[in-house]
Amino acid sequence: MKPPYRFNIQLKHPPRNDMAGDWAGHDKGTGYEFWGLRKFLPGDSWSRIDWKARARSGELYVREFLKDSAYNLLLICDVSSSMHFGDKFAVARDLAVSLAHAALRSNNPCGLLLFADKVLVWIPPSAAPRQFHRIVTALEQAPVARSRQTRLAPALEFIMKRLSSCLGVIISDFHTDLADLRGLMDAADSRLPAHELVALHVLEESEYCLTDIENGLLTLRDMESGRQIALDLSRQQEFNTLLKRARERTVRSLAGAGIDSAVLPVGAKDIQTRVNTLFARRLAARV
Amino acid sequence: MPDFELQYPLALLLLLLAPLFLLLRRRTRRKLPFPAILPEMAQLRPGFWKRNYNGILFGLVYLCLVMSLVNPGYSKETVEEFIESKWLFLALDLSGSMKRPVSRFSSQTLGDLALDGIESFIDMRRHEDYIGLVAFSSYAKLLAPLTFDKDLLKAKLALVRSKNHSRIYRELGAGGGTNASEAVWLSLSAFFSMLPEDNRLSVEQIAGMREFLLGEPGALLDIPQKIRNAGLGTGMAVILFTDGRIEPTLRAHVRRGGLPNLVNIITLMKAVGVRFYIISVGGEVDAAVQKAMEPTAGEPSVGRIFVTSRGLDRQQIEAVYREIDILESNRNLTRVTLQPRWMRPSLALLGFGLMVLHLLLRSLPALRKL
Repeated sequence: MKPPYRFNIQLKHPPRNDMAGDWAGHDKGTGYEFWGLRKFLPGDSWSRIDWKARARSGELYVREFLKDSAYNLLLICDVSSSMHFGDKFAVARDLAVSLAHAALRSNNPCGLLLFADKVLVWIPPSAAPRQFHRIVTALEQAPVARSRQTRLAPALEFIMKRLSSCLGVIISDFHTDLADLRGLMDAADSRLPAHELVALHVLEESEYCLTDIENGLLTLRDMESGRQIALDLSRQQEFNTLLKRARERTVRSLAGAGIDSAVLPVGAKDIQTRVNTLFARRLAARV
Repeated sequence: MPDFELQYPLALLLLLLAPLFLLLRRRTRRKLPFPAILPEMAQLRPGFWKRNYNGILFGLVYLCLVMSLVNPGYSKETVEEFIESKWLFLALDLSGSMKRPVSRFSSQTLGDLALDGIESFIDMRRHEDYIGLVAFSSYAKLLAPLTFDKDLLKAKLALVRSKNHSRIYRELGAGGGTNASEAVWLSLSAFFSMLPEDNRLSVEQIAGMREFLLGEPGALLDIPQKIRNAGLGTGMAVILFTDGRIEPTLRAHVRRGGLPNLVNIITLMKAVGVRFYIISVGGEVDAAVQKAMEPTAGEPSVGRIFVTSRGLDRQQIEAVYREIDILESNRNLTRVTLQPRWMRPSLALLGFGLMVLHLLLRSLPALRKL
């Protein structure tokens, strides 16, 4: 399967792996192995300007490094009922496949965890040649969870127990209670956390904004809990504001637990850019 | 019909199915699957009316349709206040004795004087009163059936004035007898003919009753059930004006036969409640008639005999008629009618109206279901 996106996976913190740096990646990026100088381009960080080269040549040069390698990429993918709303799961699968491809291409181990209210499928990280195939197969055969809710905490606890360190990418719509997440991540909160987590919010358009919908009464049914509610669409603006605030609250909750987020609408054309920007932004915020 | 009644009360059991229908409606309501219902969405719920108008209207329509099957009914009581309409028959003696002048110096006859009195009496009566006229001598003639047209009555009275020399006047004046019983019987027959169709007597029944009246006084009268049911007599009166001798026509009965006995007629009038007033000029009333007119113990009086002197004048006659007018004063009556009212059409109409309202509301942008 050809990955639909090309991602540039970059870690925020140096990997806490014993073998980190022993293997140089094929790509340039953050790392400790100097690669060379190149001319400054708009958008480059000022901290990477080589001032000695500037003094010698009179032009701006930036330092480039070989990208760190030997991190464990773990794809934590939500397969709860709510993820099957619209084309969300297809986008999530594309994201996971592309991320796996990006990691495995750089000889980094990649694993997969599918969860709903508990861990459903677990493929430990591996850089074996067949790992990509295993991940793609697992995603294609992902079970349809019959659970009445989505719970992220059990999946994260599972990872903490099984892996000493990893870069976890959570692909979900995050319609879950994140209250117990903060306590869980506090245990691993440190200057250089062993588990870096990134959240990709895969959302249908109607989940964060209702547009082009007629005035009237609408009855919604929660795909997981089955709870029903009637909505007055004459207050559509309030509904959109409410959804926006709820999403912002989710992002803040995840940020509070040290998890950076990117919201990826299903219909967006710039998913690849958004994900790469997330990794670049994290790197820019590196302490 | 009692005040409230259900025609098909068992249909009320259909109301027990209403919760089932409401549950089915709730189950089959179109719902849009959504990934998550946030607790904050509760504040966006529509108001009570918007949320429940569907169920409320459905419930009302169902209730109306079930109740239209049940068909409740009630009696509507209508109370009408009205003035009693009196039915009066004026029987006037036009025998030859009535042609005598009132005085030596007057060209006015006694009959004319009586007619003046009758005219003033007609003017006294209310517009709603039915008044009929009978003139009699040896035989009786119906001058006017019961009518409220006073002009017609006066025109008929003009026919029998002496100065007009009408044929009726001449014919009646030719007879020398005073056949009051025939005149009274004619008046009663006119009353019978004015009864409602259900209670109206056939010609055979009237003839049969007349047979009884021909017999000796004291014979047991057979009053047809129809007349008993009709409540005949209420507000009816016959006023007889005569200057001849009032007798039960016993001689005429014996001599010729075929004439009803006045005592029998008075007995019949007592039985059916028709009032009878006799204005006798000269006071020649037979003792049997006087006795028949007297009220028996525990029964109301059938009427009264007004006896005047032969030297009669207009004031006297008018005074008698005024007295009769007072005696026959119209009463204020109250009629209470109970009309059955079935509510099926109203309920069905209401149900369909609510259905239409429901459809209209559903098509409004703010209330339509998406």
